[in-house]
Amino acid sequence: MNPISSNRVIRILPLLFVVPAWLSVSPAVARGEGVVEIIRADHDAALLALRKTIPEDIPLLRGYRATTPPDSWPHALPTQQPAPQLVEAMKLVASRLAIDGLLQVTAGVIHAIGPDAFLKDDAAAIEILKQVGLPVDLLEAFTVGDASGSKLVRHIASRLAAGAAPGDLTSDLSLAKFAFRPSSLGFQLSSEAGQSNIDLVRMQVPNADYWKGQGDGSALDVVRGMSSALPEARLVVSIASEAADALRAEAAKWQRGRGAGITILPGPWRPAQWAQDNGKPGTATTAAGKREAATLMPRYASRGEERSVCDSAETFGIEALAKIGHRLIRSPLLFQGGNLIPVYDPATRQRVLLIGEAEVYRNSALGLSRPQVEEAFRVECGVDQVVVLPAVSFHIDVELSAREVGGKIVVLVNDELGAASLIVRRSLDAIRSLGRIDAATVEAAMKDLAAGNAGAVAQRLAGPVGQLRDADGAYTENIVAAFCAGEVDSGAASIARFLLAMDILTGLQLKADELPSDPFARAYVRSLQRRAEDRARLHAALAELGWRVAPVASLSDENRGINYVNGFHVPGRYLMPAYGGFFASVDQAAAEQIRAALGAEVEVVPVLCGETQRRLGAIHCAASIYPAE
Amino acid sequence: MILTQCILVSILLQTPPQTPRVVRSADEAKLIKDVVDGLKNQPAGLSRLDSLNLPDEFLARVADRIVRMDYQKQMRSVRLASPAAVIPPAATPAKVPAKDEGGSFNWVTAILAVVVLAIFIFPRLKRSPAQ
Repeated sequence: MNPISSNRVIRILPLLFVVPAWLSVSPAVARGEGVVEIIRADHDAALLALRKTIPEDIPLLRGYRATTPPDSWPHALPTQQPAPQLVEAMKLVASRLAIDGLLQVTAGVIHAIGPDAFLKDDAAAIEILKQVGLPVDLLEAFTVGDASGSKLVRHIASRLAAGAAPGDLTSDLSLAKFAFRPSSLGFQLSSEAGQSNIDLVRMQVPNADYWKGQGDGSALDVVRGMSSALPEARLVVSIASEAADALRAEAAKWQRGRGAGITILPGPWRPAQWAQDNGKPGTATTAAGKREAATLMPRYASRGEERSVCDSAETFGIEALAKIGHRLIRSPLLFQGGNLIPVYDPATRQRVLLIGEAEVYRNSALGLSRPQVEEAFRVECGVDQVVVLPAVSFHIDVELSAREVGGKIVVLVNDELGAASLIVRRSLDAIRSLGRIDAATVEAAMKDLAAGNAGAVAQRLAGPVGQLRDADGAYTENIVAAFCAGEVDSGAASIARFLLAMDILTGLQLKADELPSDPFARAYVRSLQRRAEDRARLHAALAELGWRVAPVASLSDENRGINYVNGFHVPGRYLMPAYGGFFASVDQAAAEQIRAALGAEVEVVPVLCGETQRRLGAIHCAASIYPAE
Repeated sequence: MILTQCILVSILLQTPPQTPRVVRSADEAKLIKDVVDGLKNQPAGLSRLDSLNLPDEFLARVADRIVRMDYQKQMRSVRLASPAAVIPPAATPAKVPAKDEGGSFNWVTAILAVVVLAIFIFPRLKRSPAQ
């Protein structure tokens, strides 16, 4: 052997030991950088089987709360026929709780069952109340005299046992003090105004497949996009066990350029995509007095707007986060995270929680008054002020997103007329390419659009729009292809958006005496108009907070929207939902408007989510982000 | 001006000729009321949604959402002449807008459909649970 080479080998040899040793103690590696790992956990088969019996419906017993054993809350009627007085009490809870309130109905229940049953054993008394559907945990917030919780139950039972009727207690109970105690003292929801760096991104995917392929904006594609947009944040993804390996194989392709790891949490549930709704990110205080990331979970995860349908996969699937040492806090309040937006306002130094009105009604169904619900959210979420907003859309996170700019809050909101104009303008390109309309008409329509003359546009396009369909009313392949920009796009969805945009341009300008006579069409147009009126009120409410309202060409319309406000603000950047495909130019126009609203120091980063938008959500709906605090 | 309005309305309608044209404006209010009543009659645990004491103003917004979705589904569906060309992979069949089987639209049927949608289908549609 050449002596020089031999020396080199001798010098390099120690590195073979030192480098792996360094890697093993490196904080970066300890955080999982460059690693895609699967953390599996054993599941209690009996508990899982029990939880899977919970139907996807409104719980029969109103007070149901998801808990971890040994504590348990019934969600349904007992298997054996309950005693008649219990049935009467159940009916009373179901029919009167939201109307008469928690305390009055508690008195009625105790009266129906017989007060003696509530004077012997406080724990047993509470169990009886749980069995008939009362949310007894909320009794802890009420104080009558010096009695609250189980003592309050005993107090009411004593009065009834002494001969009082439930109605006799009304005046006393109406004077009860309400002091909600937080589930975790010191917990605060994290402000979503882009004031903190992000350490953790939590997402969920139903499977490890793209809808059509990379770039389609489906659930998996949004995870890919968020992984790329936040490379320094740990990414945790929940998925059904059987799909975990496939997800790991896909996620390994995303790791290039990322500084933090990806953790896959397989579980026995098939989660939906909406990681925003089943838990809200925040920070809690540790025993050592430090702050740590935590998730506030609702009483049970729900779907629906006017109803709270229990979703067990979302309720219990999130518990897998505990396997990575993440702190989970189960709240007694019902909520869907997309309808809560916490904002720290530096101008007033107030922490403000914006709430969609549906979340108020979800909890008034548990027997709380509106002021009590607002106070409960204020305390539970660690904010100074709660502002309730009208349900212009299903959730407020498709109506607005707020950001601190220069010490003040700027709120991006939907400008549906602006969006409709851009959508029609883009669609005109497709129509022109088909040769269905002469160039002069297209140019004239474009000029009308630019001038904001929507009526003239509709007049010019009435014919061509109708002629896009064949004699059977269907769209032929070449029409769909003209509205499609590649294999992972949906031409049919693009046409649907074009039709909606035409309806908006047309419908919003019709006066009362111009409305169609057909009641269905009339109701449709009026619904568009009422939504526009509600939206104006929402914007006024935001302006009253002293915030600058910045309209962006963005559309929220259930599964036909093209939405640009359902994004994430992080320092220096706004992660903007991008529809992509045929409407990529609309994405660009919206991005320019957002840059103008937020200033040049904020980079707008598009995250593709077209297919996700066709399923009623976008990127804010699909992820939860946690600050590095 | 009258011509313009007629054209605007015709764009919104695009309904077959048998749709009744002479209808009192009260029918639109009745449609919304029917949807709200349908919402209130939904089962809610051991009771009905009516027992939740939801404000009519809120329910009207929900009803408007239902009317919009149903109108779009019936009147603005993108029916494809050759759907096979754009059908997505089998794992996600529900995501392409549904074929419009309609053609003999009737507004009474529409009202009934909206009410049925309000009671049974709409609560499950919001944020479709899985792909």
